[in-house]
Amino acid sequence: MAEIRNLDIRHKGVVAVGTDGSEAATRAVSYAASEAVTRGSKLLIVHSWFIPNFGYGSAYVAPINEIEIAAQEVVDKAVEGTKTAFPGLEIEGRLLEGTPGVRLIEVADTEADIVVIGTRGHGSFTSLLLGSVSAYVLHHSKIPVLLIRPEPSH
Amino acid sequence: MIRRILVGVDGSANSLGALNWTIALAQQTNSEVIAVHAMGLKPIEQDGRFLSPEEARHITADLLDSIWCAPLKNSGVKHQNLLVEGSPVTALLEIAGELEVDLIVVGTRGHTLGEASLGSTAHRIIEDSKIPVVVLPPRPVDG
Repeated sequence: MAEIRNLDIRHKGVVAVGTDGSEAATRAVSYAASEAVTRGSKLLIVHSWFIPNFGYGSAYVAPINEIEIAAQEVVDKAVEGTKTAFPGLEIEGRLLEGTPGVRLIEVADTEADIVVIGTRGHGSFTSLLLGSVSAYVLHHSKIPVLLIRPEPSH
Repeated sequence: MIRRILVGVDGSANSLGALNWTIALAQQTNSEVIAVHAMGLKPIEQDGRFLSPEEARHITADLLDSIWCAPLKNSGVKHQNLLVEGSPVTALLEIAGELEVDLIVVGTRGHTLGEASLGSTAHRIIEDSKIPVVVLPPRPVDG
């Protein structure tokens, strides 16, 4: 028998997933959860909120606390839904303020072994397929990025 | 549930990194690794002459088994090494479908100004794959 080398990946024991509450993201969260179960890792669900810029002179600006409350709901909903589907899995939901891709990477790079993101599942150019947040994550992440398409596999 | 993971191999440092990462994942998930090398149609020159397609296949298959995929053999992970002809993207995706692979692993080529630069193969696999794809960062493995 040949030598068996220790090929274990540096293990932080965390699978990170970004969500924006969309259907594509929900699928990514669910895949990330099963990935975390297989690895015996914790699941970290991250959502970022920021103050949308409606352009110069925009008449409407949503009150900041309303945006934050809505954002917290996105996190809570994702955590609750995942807890129901994956009982026994350790799950943390985290709400961050700032540009989604940037904040997700900051957290994932330092805390996770892998980061999972959903794609739109269509578009003949990578930029259309991914959307700007996923594309940013894909190009800047220091850890492996797992891309999940919205439609069922095969 | 991951049962089969596909990874492309070509003997490069990047490909070795991707292979090692895949092996570690296969060990964790108790799954099988499908290591695929797609041979281009460009003739291979050796010792001042072009190899016949037959010789080229033979030599490449030998490289694939004995050197490029050596970490797989050493790991004890269940695996298949496959040599195919044609465009890497088409070949990898076809095999992924045929063997009912659950996950495709692709590497990135290093980076410019902190950005990973995806090779054209990685780009097209991301675009065309129907199954989840993991994209590894430029220096992923032993960080």
